[in-house]
Amino acid sequence: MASVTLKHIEKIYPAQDKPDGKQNLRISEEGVHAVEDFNLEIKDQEFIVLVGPSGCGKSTTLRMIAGLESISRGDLYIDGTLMNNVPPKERDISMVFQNYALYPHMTVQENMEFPLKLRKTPKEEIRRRVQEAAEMLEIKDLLKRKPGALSGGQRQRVAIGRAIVRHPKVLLMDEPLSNLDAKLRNQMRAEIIQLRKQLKTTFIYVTHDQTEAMTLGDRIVIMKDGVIQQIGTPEEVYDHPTNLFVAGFIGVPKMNFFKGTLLKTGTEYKVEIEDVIFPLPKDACKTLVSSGTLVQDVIIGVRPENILLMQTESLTQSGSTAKAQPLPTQPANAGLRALPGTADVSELMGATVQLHFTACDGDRTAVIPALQWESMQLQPGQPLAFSFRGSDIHLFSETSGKSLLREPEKV
Amino acid sequence: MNHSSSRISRIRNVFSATEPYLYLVPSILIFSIFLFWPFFKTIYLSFYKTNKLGQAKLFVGIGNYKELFQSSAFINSLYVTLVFVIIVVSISMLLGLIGAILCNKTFPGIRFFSTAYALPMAIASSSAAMIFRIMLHPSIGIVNKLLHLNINWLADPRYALVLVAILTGWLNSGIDFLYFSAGLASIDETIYERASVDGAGPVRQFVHLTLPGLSPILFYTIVVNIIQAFQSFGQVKILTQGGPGDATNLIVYSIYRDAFFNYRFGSAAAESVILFVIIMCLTLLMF
Repeated sequence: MASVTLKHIEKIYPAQDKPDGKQNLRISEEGVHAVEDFNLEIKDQEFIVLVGPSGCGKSTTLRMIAGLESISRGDLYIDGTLMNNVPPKERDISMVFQNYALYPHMTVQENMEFPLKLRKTPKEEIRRRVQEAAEMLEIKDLLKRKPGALSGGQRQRVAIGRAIVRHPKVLLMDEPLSNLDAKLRNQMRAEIIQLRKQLKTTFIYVTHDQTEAMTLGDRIVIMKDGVIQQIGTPEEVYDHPTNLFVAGFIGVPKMNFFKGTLLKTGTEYKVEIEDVIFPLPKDACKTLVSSGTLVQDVIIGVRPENILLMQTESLTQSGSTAKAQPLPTQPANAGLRALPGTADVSELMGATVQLHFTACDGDRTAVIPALQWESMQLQPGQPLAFSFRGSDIHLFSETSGKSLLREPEKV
Repeated sequence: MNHSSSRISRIRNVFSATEPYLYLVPSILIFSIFLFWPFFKTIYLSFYKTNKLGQAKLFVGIGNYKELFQSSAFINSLYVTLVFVIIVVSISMLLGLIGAILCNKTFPGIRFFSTAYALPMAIASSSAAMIFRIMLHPSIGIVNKLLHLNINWLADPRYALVLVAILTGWLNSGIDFLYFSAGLASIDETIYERASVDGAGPVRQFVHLTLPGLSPILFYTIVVNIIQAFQSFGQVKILTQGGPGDATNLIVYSIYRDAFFNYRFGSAAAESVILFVIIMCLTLLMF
């Protein structure tokens, strides 16, 4: 139970030690900047998820908090105490590693007892805590076995078990689920949510999987090339991504991006994509007015589930301004302007169908309910029309990639 | 027509049945000439008194063995060998292990150090012994010069055995370094990180993680080292010739002396058989 504060934390590797596959990191005279100006205030018992593509510095940040990696610049506080030069064992943290890091020659029980024995915890207490953790994670039957005799899922439970027996101030998890298969991962994810309710400790969790981030985190920190892109609750980062990267990274399938132009008449803003005009809703206009946004080229982002497919009659005859008829199963879409496209493959996901289609010189994705799909059954190559509501539009500057619809950050 | 085709198929059958053995013939031949034949001949000789040409002349049964176990020289030789083996194995394993642990981290120049620690493997024992002899020379040797001493190291029964053992230990440490390096590389790096978060210092990490992680290879290395140490010969021949007195008269050297100085081939053969039995017992015991 503790708060963790990171102030202007940086990690700089000597240039010759540059880790492979990290081409986009900034390189200065000092070396390679793996993490840059990382600021974060983690509250007691908060569940923070660091998420980003591989090489974005999320694991490095976690390892700096653990003390496994030295901090090049900035200050790290745990419960108000400066921890920069405190060795890992004195930070009162626990860590779960991606490859479990169980001691192969010790039984599960010995593995769990080890950190307590090192701290000279009384024997009775050790027994009680191991039993408690084993019960919580349902690994009581495995206590006498060695890690080699366990399945991946069981090993991960043991790894978590040995991390929680110590009742650490902060529990660090470095991609704990990425070695598990999809089904087991979902199950363990649910169990981590359960565990979190029982443990009352601060969690810092690293993952590259945005689903894990969205489902587990109280707040998500999205990183790219060593720089924080956005910090926010799952809803915030999903509904109001600050830039193109976050918009594309959070959400499956990926957000669709269209090139367009932002137009202005009085206090009304509109976007134009390939001669089709979409008016923006009032609150969006308000934001744009208050930030004094000018007419400019923009990127328009629309989530696949917000794409509305329409039936087309004779798309080829009337050209790009198709006469689109709303589908009977959809809410009244009258008045929406439609863009033309060509259907590619479709994937049935169960309750929904992911339709890939080509439109506006690019591959697009739409997610539609399976019921609605049954009534249209577009074959690859068939023409289609699609649209979206003005309120579902995300707007980004084409030059900077930053969101135009977010209020300027309050400093 | 039919007749000849059946003959061909029969020949083919015979060939396919014998084919695997044909491939084994060359190596069996070499083993037989240089290993099995001398081995059985040695056992045979150990039951005979021989003439100076090494030909079996008089069957004495276990007479040679009886004599050996009544001879204080042979008992001494066994004792010396035992002490020698213990020193050699301890030194070589320790040197190899320390070197491997030091070289387990990457840093600039690591290749140079790795090569340096593995090098003794590539040095012939006799040439190393020659260098050692010069270093230990009572008047011009660097050891006496550096220590400001005046000791005839190799002629002093107190030092001779230990010095030969140190040299042998160093020579054998190269291969141990390789074994231990391989063993250390197979230990998962993250368990050390976990241990440091758990609160284990370097000593505890070594005792609780490194040693258990090395234990399979440790065991194998001990066996190989013991066998190797028992068979040391070149360095004794060059440094001390078994002396002073019988202070460094290891079994292998004693066999050599019995056979080629004293021309007692029967007795030497019996000693060889005893050495073989000792090594075999140790190996079986270990596995």
